Amino acid sequence: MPGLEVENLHVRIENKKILHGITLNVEYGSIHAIMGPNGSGKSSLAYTIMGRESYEVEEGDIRLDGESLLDLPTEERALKGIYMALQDPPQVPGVRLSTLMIAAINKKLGNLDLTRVKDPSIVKKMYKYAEELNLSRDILQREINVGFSGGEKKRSELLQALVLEPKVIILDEPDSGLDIDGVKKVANILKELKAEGKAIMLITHYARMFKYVTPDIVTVIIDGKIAVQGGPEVANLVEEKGYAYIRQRFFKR
Amino acid sequence: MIQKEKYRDLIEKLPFQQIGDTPTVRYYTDWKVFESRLNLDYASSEDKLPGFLSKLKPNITLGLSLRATNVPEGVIVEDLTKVLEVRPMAIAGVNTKMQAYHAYRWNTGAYIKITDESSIEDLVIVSLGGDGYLGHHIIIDIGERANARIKIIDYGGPNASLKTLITEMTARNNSKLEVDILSLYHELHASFIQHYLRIEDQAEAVVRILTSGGSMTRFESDNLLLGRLSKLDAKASNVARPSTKTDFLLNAVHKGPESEGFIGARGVVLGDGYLAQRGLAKIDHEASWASSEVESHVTILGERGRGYAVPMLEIHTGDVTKAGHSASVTTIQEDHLFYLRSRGLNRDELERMLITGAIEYSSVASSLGIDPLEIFLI
Ligand SMILES: Nc1ncnc2c1ncn2[C@@H]1O[C@H](COP(=O)(O)OP(=O)(O)OP(=O)(O)O)[C@@H](O)[C@H]1O
Ligand SMILES: [Mg+2]
Repeated sequence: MPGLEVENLHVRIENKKILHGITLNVEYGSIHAIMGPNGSGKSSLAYTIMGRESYEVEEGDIRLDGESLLDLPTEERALKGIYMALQDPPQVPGVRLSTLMIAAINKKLGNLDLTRVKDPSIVKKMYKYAEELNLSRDILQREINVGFSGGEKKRSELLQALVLEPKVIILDEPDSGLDIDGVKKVANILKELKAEGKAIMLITHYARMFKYVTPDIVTVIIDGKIAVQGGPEVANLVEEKGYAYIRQRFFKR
Repeated sequence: MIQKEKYRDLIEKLPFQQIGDTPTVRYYTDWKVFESRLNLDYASSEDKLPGFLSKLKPNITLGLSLRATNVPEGVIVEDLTKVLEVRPMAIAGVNTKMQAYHAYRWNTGAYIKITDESSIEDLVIVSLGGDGYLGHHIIIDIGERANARIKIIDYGGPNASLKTLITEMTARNNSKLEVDILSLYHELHASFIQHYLRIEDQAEAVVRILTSGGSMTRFESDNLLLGRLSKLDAKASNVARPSTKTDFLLNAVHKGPESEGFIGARGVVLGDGYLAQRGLAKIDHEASWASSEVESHVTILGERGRGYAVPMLEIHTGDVTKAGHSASVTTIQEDHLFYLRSRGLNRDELERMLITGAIEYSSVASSLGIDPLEIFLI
């Protein structure tokens, strides 16, 4: 079974049409890269998959393991195993990062008390992955994204993906704002997640990450439409020629 | 007695709030609530602590009268009306109408001395409201090199009544004080509360506060870092329940050279509640190389709730080691909600997390051994 399927997706936000018939699959044990220029609709696609309320699906379907998600609210999509690492996650003063992760895990396990840690191995896991991501331990005790640097925000988003163990991981530009070591680190983690059988949708502007992790499929979205879809060679084409060329070549009638 | 008459005159003469109390000359307290209750008779019955607090073993209780039980060794408790050598309001001063009112009318007072070099693990002081006016005055003197952990439970039950509570604490040279203050009031109760703390040379104070006010609660914690190398670490959690109003002030004034202070507060506003969360850190000219930080964050959860975070930092010396302030007022916005929902949590769970988080900030609930959300059970 294919994992996440997006079929002929048309989306509008308020009165603006943003996606015009997107079709793509993100299979388990694979990395599907989504590329495209600013404002092309990459984040919108991710938000729509996650069920963000302002993104209205006009036509098409989104399925997980063959089951449509369209009628489910965001939290239920998350509980079914979809995780989105946000491009720019908001600050949530008053809630610690560890409190959030513990609550999310308890919720997933069906525990009514979201605050208590039933299984101490979860805490160990948080610390282990934080260390792996070069995040200092005290970040877990800090309020979510309050005073986090750009890189810390990105890594904290990835940390939550590792701790929550979803089936499908959508990463919206996990590499922007990271230094080269950070990019390598993220690439290695993606490789591991792929090997574990996760379905990974990787949104990015640049092909620089693909030096360290090769995507299985690359889809380029321009103006809310798929311009081209193929293997890693598509990313090379983008890198060499730029989006203007892609637009010219594939949208020319 | 002459003193008392003087206070009565001052009730008439003094304003509710000094001009210049805030730079904006704004009234964060709804003084009308107090004004309408000034003529209340003294209470004839006192409130009972709610069930979740009943496991606490009070050593000193102030209600209609003063009671002391199982007072630990090293602590001397006396009826304040019978102690001639201390003068109530000496530290607090009488500068506003409510202070004068309290000074004139308080009915129960305790003088508590923690003897020099003693170590007091746990001293529980309870102040109870009643079905009319009650005023409590507490003076606590923590002796030199003493070590004291004090819990103050300040409670007002379901009557449309009024309580005033003023404490005047002194942490003498080289003493260590840890004080947890819980101020909890029913929706109809009004309360005027001031806690003064003077911290002398090399004394250290940890102040933890949890408030959830009534129809109008004015809570002020004034901390004076008087001594050289004195230290203050103060953290407060404030919960404005629906139909309640709290004007909360947490202040630190540095006069001691190389004194170190931190004051921080987290608040949440529920329903149509109201919370002004104010903090002033002031470094006087004689407090060279002091360091001070003030922090205030309020989250408004209710659509009709109102919340203010007003931190101020005033520096009157050229030589400071560190000085900083931060503040925010947040409402739950679509992006917060989407974020938390994308982690599998719903709005109710998010609100509960925010409330619990704010309450846990000051750690008063955990040191009293109560669940953070139990404060809603009054
Ligand atoms: N909430 C919104 N209200 C109005 N327009 C929106 C909203 N969100 C997105 N858009 C518009 O939809 C289009 C696609 O935006 P989107 O954020 O999906 O692009 P993107 O490909 O992720 O761009 P970037 O690479 O800059 O992150 C843009 O024109 C954007 O202005
Ligand atoms: Mg984007």
